[in-house]
Amino acid sequence: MFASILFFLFSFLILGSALLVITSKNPVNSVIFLIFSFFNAAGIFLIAGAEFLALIMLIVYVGAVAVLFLFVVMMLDLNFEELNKKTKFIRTGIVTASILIIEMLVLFFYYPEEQSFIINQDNNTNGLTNTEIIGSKIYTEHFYHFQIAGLILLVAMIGAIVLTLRHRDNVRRQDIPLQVSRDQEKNIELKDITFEESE
Amino acid sequence: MVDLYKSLTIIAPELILALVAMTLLMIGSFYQKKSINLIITLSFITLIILSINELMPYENQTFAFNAFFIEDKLSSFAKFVIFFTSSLSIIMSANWLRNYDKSAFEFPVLILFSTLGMALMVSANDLVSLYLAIELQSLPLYVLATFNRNDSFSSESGVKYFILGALSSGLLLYGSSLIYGFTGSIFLNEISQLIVPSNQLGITFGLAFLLAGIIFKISAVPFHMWAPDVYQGAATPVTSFFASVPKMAAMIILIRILYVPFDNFITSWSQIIIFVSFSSILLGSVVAIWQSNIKRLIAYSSIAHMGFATLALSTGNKSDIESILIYMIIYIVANIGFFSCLINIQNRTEKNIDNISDLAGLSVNNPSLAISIALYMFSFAGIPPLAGFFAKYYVFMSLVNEGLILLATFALIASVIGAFYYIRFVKVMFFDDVADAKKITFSRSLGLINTLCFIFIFAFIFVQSITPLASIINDASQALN
Repeated sequence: MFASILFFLFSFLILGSALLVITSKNPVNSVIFLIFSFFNAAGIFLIAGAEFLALIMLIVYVGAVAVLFLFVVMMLDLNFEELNKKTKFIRTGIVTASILIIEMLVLFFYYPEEQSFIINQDNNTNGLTNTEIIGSKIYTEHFYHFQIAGLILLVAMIGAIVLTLRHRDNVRRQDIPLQVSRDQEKNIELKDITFEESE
Repeated sequence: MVDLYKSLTIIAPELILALVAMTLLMIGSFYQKKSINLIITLSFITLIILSINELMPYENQTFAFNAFFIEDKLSSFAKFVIFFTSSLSIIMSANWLRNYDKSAFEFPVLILFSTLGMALMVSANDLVSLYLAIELQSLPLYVLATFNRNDSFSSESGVKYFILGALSSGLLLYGSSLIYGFTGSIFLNEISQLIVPSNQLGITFGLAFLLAGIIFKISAVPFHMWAPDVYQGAATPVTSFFASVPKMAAMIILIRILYVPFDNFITSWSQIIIFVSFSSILLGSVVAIWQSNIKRLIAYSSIAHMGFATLALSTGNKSDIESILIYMIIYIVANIGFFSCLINIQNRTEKNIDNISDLAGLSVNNPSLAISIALYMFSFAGIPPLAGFFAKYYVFMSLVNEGLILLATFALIASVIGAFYYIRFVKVMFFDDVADAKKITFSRSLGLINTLCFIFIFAFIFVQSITPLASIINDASQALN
């Protein structure tokens, strides 16, 4: 009972905030509502018992993707009023949305009785949580995959540096040894100024 | 512990490659400009040694790391080709790289990582490591496409390649998850036993998505759109790498996916493969006629060649793997040879050589270059004494043996259409006039590569009879039986 109340609460919040994402005039507000809907989706994962997915949802979508979106929206110099006037995608949007609604109705009325999606499912969890099982599998049985994933991250890091790092020649960089080795004799020049000349 | 030790010895070439790549990265970041020659030389030597190592006789089939990694004759043959061709690519890019930026030591390192990804890809025995290996091979490729970042074409090609590549990875993952969901196994060699009539529809669906992801990597129709833009925008040494090595890896994994887990599924996938090869040959042969840019033309030509290679897959007969492998080898050698000439011309001339018309009158002062390019073009077109003829001959023979005569006739007609634009190169080089023709000498390394490719293409039968190539290819093609 309590779970289903929470489920409906989260679902309505997702729908409401998703609606606000596409209707709000300011793109920054849209991104904030998008983040809010991610939070609620994480809540639904928690109710379904998938606490690992909920955490990943928060870390990846809220922590990385949404913040990136926010940066992009804030950094781009867009004319929001111009953007809001454009409604050329409305017809495509309606067609896509109606197809999705028809699909959902079909599923609602002709839901297959027997679900045979996953065969050979191993349901024996020995009372461990999802996170514990994933951790113990990744670092033992699947450590080969874990290592390749590490290499992919290394390559991504090299790629980001290669594509963005620029060595400019005419930039004054901070040179700490030079700064430390400065002394009075070399750098301060004392000059006698005669006042008569300034007349 | 014994198990881990055994796994590590099986995976040793890949491990060495990863360690060398990381060490060279360290050397490069500490010594910057001074280390560029050292890094090029070391990565070349490593790849050559590893490629020779792959020719050593191994056991027929060994597994490593809980059977996530498979080493058989097919994968070691593929790794030999991949390592060898990558080493040639590094040498071919050396002069360009020194002219471009001496501190760009990441270039060989990225090629090494991509090669590592391809080596892991051809040895993948499960869907997860297949996906991860494909990502590991394509991420450096995106960076390499954008490497010449001051050029707007290069940036455009990198962004296009990245976005479409991410899309294809998504399709591949979706297909893999459907296959896992319906069979309950990620292992390629287990899936075939888990296919039962009740889950066939879902698996066919998953297979279609999985194939879409891999067909993107070999740039066959309908997932070819990225190829012309990326080939045109990337620097020429990068294009030569794109056109040769990743295609081999993707073709091998395509063979493995089709013949290991979906061996009893031929009726479902042969239609997909026939469509892919049919439309690739048609599009590659016809659209290339209007191209004036050399690298765009090579992109369309590679689309057509991938069509011919996948044509031999459409028979669904394991004995035709041999003709695919021969086709790929000859395609790669002719490509490397052609690009060694093109890179040499581009390195040694001040003005941009981008269009076919820029090659006009090449034969006047540079007969050796012109004859080499003409030979590779004739080989691409499939003119009889050259290697390209035999490549097409084997593919057509396997089609005719399976009774697919209509398909073979069509491919023959398309290859005649394709011959038009290959021969246009010869016409431009030998019969067009040019205002300022200048003598271009071969640099030592590119000249050597060109000579080797020339001999291979010109005297293919002779090469085949004196080297153990035929028996190696035969062994590799028997590996999946």
